[in-house]
Amino acid sequence: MKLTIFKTFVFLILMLPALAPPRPVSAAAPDAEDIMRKVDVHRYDADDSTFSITLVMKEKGGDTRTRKLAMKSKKTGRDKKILIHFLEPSDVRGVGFMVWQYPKKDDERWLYIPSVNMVKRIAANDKRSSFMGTDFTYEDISGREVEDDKHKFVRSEKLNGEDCFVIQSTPRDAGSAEFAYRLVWVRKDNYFSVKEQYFDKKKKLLKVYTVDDLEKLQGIWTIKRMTMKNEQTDHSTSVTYTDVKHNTGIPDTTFTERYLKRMP
Amino acid sequence: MKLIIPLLLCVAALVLPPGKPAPAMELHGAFQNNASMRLAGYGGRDHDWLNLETKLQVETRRAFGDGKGDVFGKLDFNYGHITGRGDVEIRELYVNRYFSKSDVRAGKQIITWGSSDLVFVTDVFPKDWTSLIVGRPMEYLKKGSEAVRGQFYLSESTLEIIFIPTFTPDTLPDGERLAAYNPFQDATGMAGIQPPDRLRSPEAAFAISKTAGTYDYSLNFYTGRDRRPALAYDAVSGMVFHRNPRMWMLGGGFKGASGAKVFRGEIAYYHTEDVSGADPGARNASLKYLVGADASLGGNKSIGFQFSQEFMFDYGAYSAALPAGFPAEKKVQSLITVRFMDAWRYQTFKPKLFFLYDISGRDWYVNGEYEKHLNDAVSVMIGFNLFGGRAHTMYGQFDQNDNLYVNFRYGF
Repeated sequence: MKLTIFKTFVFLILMLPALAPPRPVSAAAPDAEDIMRKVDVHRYDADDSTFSITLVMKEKGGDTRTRKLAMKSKKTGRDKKILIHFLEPSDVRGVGFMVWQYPKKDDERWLYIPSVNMVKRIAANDKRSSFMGTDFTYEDISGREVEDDKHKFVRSEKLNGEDCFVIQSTPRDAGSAEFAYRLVWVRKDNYFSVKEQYFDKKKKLLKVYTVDDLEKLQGIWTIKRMTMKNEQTDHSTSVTYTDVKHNTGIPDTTFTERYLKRMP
Repeated sequence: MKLIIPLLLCVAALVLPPGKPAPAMELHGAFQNNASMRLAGYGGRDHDWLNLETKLQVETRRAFGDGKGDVFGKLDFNYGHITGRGDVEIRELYVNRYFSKSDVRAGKQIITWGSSDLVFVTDVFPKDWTSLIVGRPMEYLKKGSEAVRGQFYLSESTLEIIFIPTFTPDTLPDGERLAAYNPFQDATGMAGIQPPDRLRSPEAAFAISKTAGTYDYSLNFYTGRDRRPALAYDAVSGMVFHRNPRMWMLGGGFKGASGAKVFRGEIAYYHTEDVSGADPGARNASLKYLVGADASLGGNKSIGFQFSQEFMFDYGAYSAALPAGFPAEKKVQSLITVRFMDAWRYQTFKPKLFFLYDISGRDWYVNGEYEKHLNDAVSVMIGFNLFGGRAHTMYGQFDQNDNLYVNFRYGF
């Protein structure tokens, strides 16, 4: 009998942890790199796209400059081809710009100058230079490769009513980017980057990217308006996309000198 | 006469069905002013205006046939404040017709071969060198050709066929307002003797181009006339006669990216009428080549280098035939050029500097420019052109044309 009481006691002691109410355990942090890979997929959602683009550059004093462009893009795997024609202002009307983007090597770029009917190849090594005089760099437009940065989950928070992950992305090669690190707000429902804050080498806020209008068109999440604001110069560029069409079957031959020279 | 072909073609294009919906006619243009002041004295005038003109440029385009073609026109209404005269210049006026595997453009159009920077090897098409000297915008260096041009897109390459029924010479300084070397100081006058009728001097040109890897290649052939005049002095009348001798050119070129740089090159053989070299006033046959590289220096800074050489054939015959006291051209002309460009403040300020040095002639040319975009419509460009060298050399002869210039543009 004594033995039975002892066994029961030992059993109860051993079972205590199981019988106790569950302790609160910390939720595992989401895998930041996995989130950024899902964000990256959006760069290749559409096989091809056609846009009309209005760029509005706003200076500190409030003066604005406007550029109107027609753009076509097409992906082949992770390679992308882009064709842009300037429609306004008049001094650049007809200028054509073509880029063949490759994730693992330098882009190829061509510039067509209609006034002298000349196509020039232009050097493409500096992805940090301004894209057509805007607050966007070439790299902002083409996007960074996920493996070029280290990604860290920072927190979850609501942004404009949408649940978002906040991810800190730091370039593995500090010299490869104009910024020291960036904070990226990624919507949890569609894994779309809707806000990015770029910090300079002194960890001071450099510029802020926001997606101001995001819509699902033809089943593809599509930016209708985005803004990049340089917080240090108070200069901003907003980009509005209209007449958006996806997957119309743009032929590969569109991205050649023949069409670079032809106004849309 | 010279406008009959483009006008007929444009009329033909306009009567073609416009497609549905009929596209609107686009209308753009600009008011432009070019003021160029000489820095030194010339012909008894100090600091006079090399050029002072106002232009109204009107540009229009209309598509037709649901994208099967378009008509394009660019007209300049000019007023020269020095001469007090106005004129209308058709810069371009042509019709494009697009087919599935070819494009045809007919009318007055700018044609450019190669991508060299102010040193032309395969680009044999007409130029206005006076525009470069007085500092007009760079587009005015090129002149239109009245031509029919077909481009045929083959599976791997593009074939280009150009027929130019009327000859257009280069526009060169005449020695009046713009200083230029005249080897015939005692001549009583100058007259052109050939071609007597522009329609009797047709030109033809062919090119085949191909992209392979990250490089574009082309092979070019042209037959027509030398746009630079050959001069001959007639001792009896005291007149200097100028003509544009026949010539043909066979050349080729490449441009492409290797890593962070763009490399380009061109080579051409010029076969002239004076193959024996016995006429010192006409160009001998020659071989030209150019190699160049462009690189981004980070940000918006870029730099470009070029090295070019021209070898004159039958130099011995040329030297022997040259009259006593006439300056001789070099057997080999070697040039280097450097161009630096930058853009500040969101590309609203654009400084540019171009330097050319003729190693063999020991003469040079420097152009500096500073362009400011005040807003979307208004831009101002301030620049200078400096020339140096001996009085008879290619660039030295323009020494007295050193100038400061201002270009104002209001676009609409």
